[in-house]
Amino acid sequence: MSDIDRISSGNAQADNILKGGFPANSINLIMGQPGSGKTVFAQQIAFHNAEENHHVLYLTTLAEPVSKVVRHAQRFSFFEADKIGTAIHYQDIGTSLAKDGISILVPLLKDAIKTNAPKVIIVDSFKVLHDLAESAADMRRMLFELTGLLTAYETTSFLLGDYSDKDAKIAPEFAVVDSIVQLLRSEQSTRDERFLRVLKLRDSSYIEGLHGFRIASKGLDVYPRLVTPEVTESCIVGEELIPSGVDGLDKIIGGGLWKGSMTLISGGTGTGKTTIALQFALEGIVHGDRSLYVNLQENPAQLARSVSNLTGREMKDSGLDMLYISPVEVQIDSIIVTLFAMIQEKNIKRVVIDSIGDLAMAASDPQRLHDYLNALVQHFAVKGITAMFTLETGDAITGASSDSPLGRISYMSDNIFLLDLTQRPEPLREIRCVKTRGSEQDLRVHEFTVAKDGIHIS
Amino acid sequence: MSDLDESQTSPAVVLIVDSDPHVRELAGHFLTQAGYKVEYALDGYDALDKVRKVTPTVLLVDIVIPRLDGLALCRLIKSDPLTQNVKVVVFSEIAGLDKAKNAQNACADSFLSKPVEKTRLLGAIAHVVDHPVRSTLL
Repeated sequence: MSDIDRISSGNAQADNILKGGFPANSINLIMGQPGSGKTVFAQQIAFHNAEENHHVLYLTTLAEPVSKVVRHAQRFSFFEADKIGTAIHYQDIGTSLAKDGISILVPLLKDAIKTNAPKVIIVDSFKVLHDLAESAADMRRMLFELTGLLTAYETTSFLLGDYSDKDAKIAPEFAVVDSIVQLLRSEQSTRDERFLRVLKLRDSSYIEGLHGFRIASKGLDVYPRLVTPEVTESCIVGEELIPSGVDGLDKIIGGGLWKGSMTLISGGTGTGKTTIALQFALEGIVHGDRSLYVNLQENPAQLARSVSNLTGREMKDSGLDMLYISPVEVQIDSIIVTLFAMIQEKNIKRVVIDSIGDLAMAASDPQRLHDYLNALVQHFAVKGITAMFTLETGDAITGASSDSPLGRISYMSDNIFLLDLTQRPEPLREIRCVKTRGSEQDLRVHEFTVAKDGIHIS
Repeated sequence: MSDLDESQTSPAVVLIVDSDPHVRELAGHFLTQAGYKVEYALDGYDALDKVRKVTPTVLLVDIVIPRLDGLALCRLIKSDPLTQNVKVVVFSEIAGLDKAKNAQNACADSFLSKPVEKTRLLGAIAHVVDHPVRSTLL
């Protein structure tokens, strides 16, 4: 596809999804139910693109009065009062539409073009024009005229509306626009999740699927869906064995962990999963690599104590990069974006996710979780990042629940260790490797102890 | 934006030849606002007739117009000693240098890509009015 000029949405991640932004000189449609964020997105586009010689025209129809739209915009950091009336021209055309009908839109727009020569035009809401049209033919005639005008003049336009999926099949504007972006809001048990989806983007590719977003003080904060990278031969799991940092563990799997591999540590509460994961992360630092510990489970203070015990240093002096996330409050999409940003920024070579069970709590859609985990593991392999995930259960690995997303984590794993705490008759900790890829495997059950300086496997 | 040279006693005349009413109206508005006198034609033969009668300073012509296309019109105008000094700006949606070269080969003085944009439009017209040299791609 040939390169085309783009205009930014005002959000770098949304632009990535659109492969650079909305095509310039195009007609775009932003659809979504009331409260889904359409007006915020449109305002973000308006303020980002408005400049002295790059004017934006924002037309409000009969959905919300212009004063309310402007007042609402002031809550966001993208709002710049100086641009109002100079680079952004708000115009309430609701009264004219109600009095003269929808045929007045094109002449009004033409007058505005002659006056302000806007480079961006936003009509909020366009869908209400259907309610004012005397007939479907009336609407089609107006749309034909409007499309002609917006094509003749060099501008990028955005038509907003609370269109339903059914509307998308019958409303004529869906056929004539160059792009369609849908904003969705899904009610979960204790929180809502918001998603952005591109339904159409003429002359351009885009990242398909649902992309999480939230409405933050800076406007829409978008988290592009993680997709599996294109794996080349050079990116296949490395040829270098690296030490796990756990005394005795490397011997079970032929000398160490393959660089770029993923190891799953599974077991019940208190079996030592977090200690193994911490030792793995800290071992990277010993060898001059940076390690990131993604903590979704442990109390940060408790974790700091464990690090101090293992290293003899305070957490802040340990060199470990820590990312604490409460899985209750955050969308899985935002976790992934934050994680990748840290990996890239800090050139991370070892990653721990403790635990993926908690990550599952953040995912409302099991299939989505599975796709995320799969893509995550692939990205780590391609980037040569060695990962360790913990999982608080044994059942998911035995095959009994292989249909569940966590059950299917086993095929993504290069190594799987099961930890157990038995009573026979004395309490005893045991570890066994049930899977290893590309290495000799010691299938025996090994006893281990947990001491202040870490785990020791016999 | 470039306005007319104040030393000129009468405004330059721009003949717009385009079948799209929105293009005619918007381009005509911006040019009139900038001080040009604007005439309109809807097809190639209508344009040829007006060029001979009015002798515009500039012909702003789309390639795809009814009856006689813009490039053929351009050749006819440039091959006639009575109209060969009329500056021709080909104004088209058709992207790419090939079409621009065709426009130049057809004796156009400049090629301007659609859609209408005030600054580019006024710049292109001012350029051919002020500069006798041909072959400008804008």
